[in-house]
Amino acid sequence: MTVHDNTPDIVDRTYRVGGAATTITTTLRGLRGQSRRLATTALAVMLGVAFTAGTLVLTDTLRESFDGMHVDAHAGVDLAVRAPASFGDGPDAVRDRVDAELTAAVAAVDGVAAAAGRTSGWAQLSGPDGTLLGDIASGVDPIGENWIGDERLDPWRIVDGSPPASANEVVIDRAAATTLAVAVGDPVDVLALGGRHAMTISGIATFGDNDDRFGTVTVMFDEATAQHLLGERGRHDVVVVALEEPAAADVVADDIRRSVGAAHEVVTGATLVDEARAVHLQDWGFFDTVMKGFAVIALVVGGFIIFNTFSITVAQRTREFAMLRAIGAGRGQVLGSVLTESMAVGVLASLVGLGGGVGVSAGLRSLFTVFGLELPDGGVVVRQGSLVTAFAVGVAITALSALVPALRAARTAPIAAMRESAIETSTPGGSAGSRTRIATGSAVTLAGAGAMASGLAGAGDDPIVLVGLGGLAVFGGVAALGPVLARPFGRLVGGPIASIRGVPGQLARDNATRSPKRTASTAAALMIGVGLVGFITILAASIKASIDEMVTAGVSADIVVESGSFGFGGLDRSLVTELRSLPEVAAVSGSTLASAEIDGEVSEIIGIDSADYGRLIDLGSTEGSLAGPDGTGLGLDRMAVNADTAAERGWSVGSDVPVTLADGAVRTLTIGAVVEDPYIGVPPMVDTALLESAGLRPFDIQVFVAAADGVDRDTVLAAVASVAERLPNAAVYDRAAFAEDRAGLVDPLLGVVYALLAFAVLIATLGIANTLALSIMERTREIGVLRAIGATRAQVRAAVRWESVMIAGFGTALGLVIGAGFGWAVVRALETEGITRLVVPTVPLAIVVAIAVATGVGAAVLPARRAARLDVLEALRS
Amino acid sequence: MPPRPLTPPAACVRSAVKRYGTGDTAVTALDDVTVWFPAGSFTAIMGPSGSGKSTLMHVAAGLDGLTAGEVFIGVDELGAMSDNELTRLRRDRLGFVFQAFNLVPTLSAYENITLPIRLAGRRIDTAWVDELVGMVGLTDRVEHRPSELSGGQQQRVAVARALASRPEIVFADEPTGNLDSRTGSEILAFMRRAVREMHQTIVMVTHDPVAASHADHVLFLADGRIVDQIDDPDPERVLDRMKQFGA
Repeated sequence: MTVHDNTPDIVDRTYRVGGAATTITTTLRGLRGQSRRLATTALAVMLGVAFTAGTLVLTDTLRESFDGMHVDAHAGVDLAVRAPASFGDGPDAVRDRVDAELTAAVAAVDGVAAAAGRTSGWAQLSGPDGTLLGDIASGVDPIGENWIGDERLDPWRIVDGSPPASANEVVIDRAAATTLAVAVGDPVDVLALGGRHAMTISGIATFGDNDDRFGTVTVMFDEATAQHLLGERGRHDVVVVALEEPAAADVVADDIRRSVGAAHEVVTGATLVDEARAVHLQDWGFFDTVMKGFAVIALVVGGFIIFNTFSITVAQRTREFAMLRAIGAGRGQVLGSVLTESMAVGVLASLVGLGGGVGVSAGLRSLFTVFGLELPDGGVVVRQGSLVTAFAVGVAITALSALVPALRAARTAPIAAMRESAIETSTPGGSAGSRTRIATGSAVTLAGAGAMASGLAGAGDDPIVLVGLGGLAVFGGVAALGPVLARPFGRLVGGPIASIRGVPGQLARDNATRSPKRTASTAAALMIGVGLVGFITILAASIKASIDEMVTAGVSADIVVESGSFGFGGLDRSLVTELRSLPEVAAVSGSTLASAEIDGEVSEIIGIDSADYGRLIDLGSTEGSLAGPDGTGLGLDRMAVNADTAAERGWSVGSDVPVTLADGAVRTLTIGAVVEDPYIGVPPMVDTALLESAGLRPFDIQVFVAAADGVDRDTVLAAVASVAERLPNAAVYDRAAFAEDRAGLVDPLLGVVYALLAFAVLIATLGIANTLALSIMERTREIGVLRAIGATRAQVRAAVRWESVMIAGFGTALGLVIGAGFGWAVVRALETEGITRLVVPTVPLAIVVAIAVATGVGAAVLPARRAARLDVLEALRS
Repeated sequence: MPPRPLTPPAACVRSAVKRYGTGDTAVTALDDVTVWFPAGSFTAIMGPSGSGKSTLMHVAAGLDGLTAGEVFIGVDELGAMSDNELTRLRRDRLGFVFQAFNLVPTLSAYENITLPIRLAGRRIDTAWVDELVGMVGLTDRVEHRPSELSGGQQQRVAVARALASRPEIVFADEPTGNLDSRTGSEILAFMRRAVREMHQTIVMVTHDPVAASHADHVLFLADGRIVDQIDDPDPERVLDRMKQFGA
């Protein structure tokens, strides 16, 4: 069973020591002999590499499918003619629409094969039973477009029926038709400008060969209807052009410029693709960072396990190394032997891990789906560079983790061959080694905390990276302090366990504190997972509490109608008008997002119904007036800002500020009000009427309603609901429910983060199982004695189980302390971002502890079984 | 063979056959052995390597099963017992002393001595344990860990542990094998005293004629069979008998 004390093998191996080749021979023989103890190391490397490769493959795949999506979305478009940017640059530019007559002018230019106006916007399909297709929160955009029907300009093809021939006909994509179970000729409702429209399906289309356009839902109207329901009558977003000779694009572009005048911008299809791609990358950069962060976590946790396994096996092989040294092996050869062994494990396991990476990427994808985040479909893309990266990282982590144990092996004195090998050694407290450890561990922890603090304060080029590295350093420092803390912890927790569980409990406690280093580095892997879970739990609870507080304090409206649109589409403006006419209602304001260039700076602004807004949102004390002296609001020539913005930009009530909206016209707006804004953090506010006057056709994201005097909440709620009923995308909440809904926005992301961290905890569990298995191998004889003198199998199992629980408990305790520290620090740092509450949620954290302890029980299952099943006689002979 | 006792023997092995492996590679470790271990006596089992002496002890102590035959501790036959029953039997009714590494390294000497009693969840008879500790001369070292004790002291702890639960039989497997002769004879003296003063039954496997001479009876095994017995042995007679195996 053990191979080490197999004397002929050792002798055989010692003869072979000499050159590099023979070192490798001994290494490989060593590997074969230890296959079982290296199995979990290999598994840890494998999982780490699989996770790294999986995240890289997933991000590659997503990038590729996004790229493909943007290329396909503009397939056939050689040139595009559009309005110049009103403000903003490149992909962020905001521009006006173009007149529909432009299409004919462009089409008339020599070399143009086809030209068509394109209009797109928000349009959401609603099935017969009110089912809404598309969900922006999940990344499934509901898009409306005009049907172009020219295969030179876009890939949409009718597979059934015909193009829309009237204002009440639509073509929908085949995926949507399948989901709604509708066919050509069936009625369908479409939400767009003007509210809900009853339409008839005239045709069903595919996007090239695909049933839908990369996971979005598309509904297509005839040109005039599209302009009316999505944009502006008589105008297009852009005119797209297919050329007779695509190679002549530059020449034809110049001709078009000459023909349509300098007021238009002519760009290539490739530019459209690049701009769309750039917008996407902005959105997905965060996703990329998060995924890579988790890959790093998985590798670090795996690194602890690798380090631990090699540390233990090197200690167990002390005599063997000493024997090699005694008969003349140099330190370099012993070092080389252990390092080669680790490299071999690293290489093999990383190779297997790469294979698993593809599976992991699929798993991650479905994980996002489970939590309601749709990723675009597309074939798996495996880039060579990603594979090389994941492989190299896996091998490097393995080699690095094995370095310290290998150096220890190389230091083995030949005389150790003659001694009883002291396997589970420990440094008693107060010794020099321990003092160095305390000093180093504390220094690293503090340095990490410092780095985090300065990162959180926004120092450096990349504060997030600084925070991440600081966090890792804190984990590393605490892990270094672990051995010093393990004994006190063991005494603290072990006492009760020993008194409850009797002899097995006492054995568990003593075994867990027998080698504080081993216990600590095993626990460290779990500490990282638990620390991050604890941190996220505290952060999420704090964010939710802060949102809840912000909404509760900042919203004085009785009722909120929420569209769930996040700015793309929403509630038709007619809702505000209708609600205002209700006798139960005293004040109504919508709220919509837009952007503007204000005095040279591009800024987000909100459009509100300013006459009522101040009665619906608590903006604190106000200089000037939002409603204006006559109560009609800000009108078309005034804006309101909060005190912070006013102070920053040097504005006060009465200041005149130049503002550019999407139409490109520069308006001079007077600051009509400066609000204290203690709760919400509002961007500059204008009246929605101003946005409409600039050609924008806004939707309200939310509509706030105050009840008339003497009308109770339920009455007004019912009144609002009956009006909002015609808009299937409207959700009507009272204030408390709205606060809850807003706080709930954190949940899907939280779910994904927990699931990813569960992976780190899983790797840590393997580490505990591995350490226990190795320890049990060392204690075979001891277990034999226990069994011989009357310990039952159940008692042996219990001892292993409780040892495992203690290790897990130690990791959990350290993790929770660190997690609480991180939570506190990050929440404090986010105070200016509106995270004003620090909440330490006891029930979720208690669940974390319960799960972590259960992890300990789970990790012990196999080692405990092996310990209990040891043949007593064989164990006694070992 | 000892005379058939008038009182029931502490343990009895009847027609025991123990074979390892199958077919051509089968080894017969015990070949139809029948033996009694009288209560209150000290029996030594001797024999050359491979004679089956350790196997005999292991099957008698319920550490190993038989291919054929029966083993009794008191009146209870071990063959039908489950692992848990055998474990309880060893814990409650037997004591063990091994050659070395007898003790659990994380427990103090006192905890090691009382371990079987605590594993059984029984109350510790402190007066009795103190008496044993005094007898083996460890009164001022009971709080030490095994690593802080000499080999001889460790073995005395092991003997005290074997006696602590007042077992029906103590099985000792080469208890002096790892000790120098002076320390070894101390251990044997304790065992001898336990038999004489406490009527303890002890069965000891040894290859050392001097050790065997402390026993009441010496059984000789060769090739899995009992081939001889010496009562009231002295070292020379045991040595002479052993020499015949070499011839």
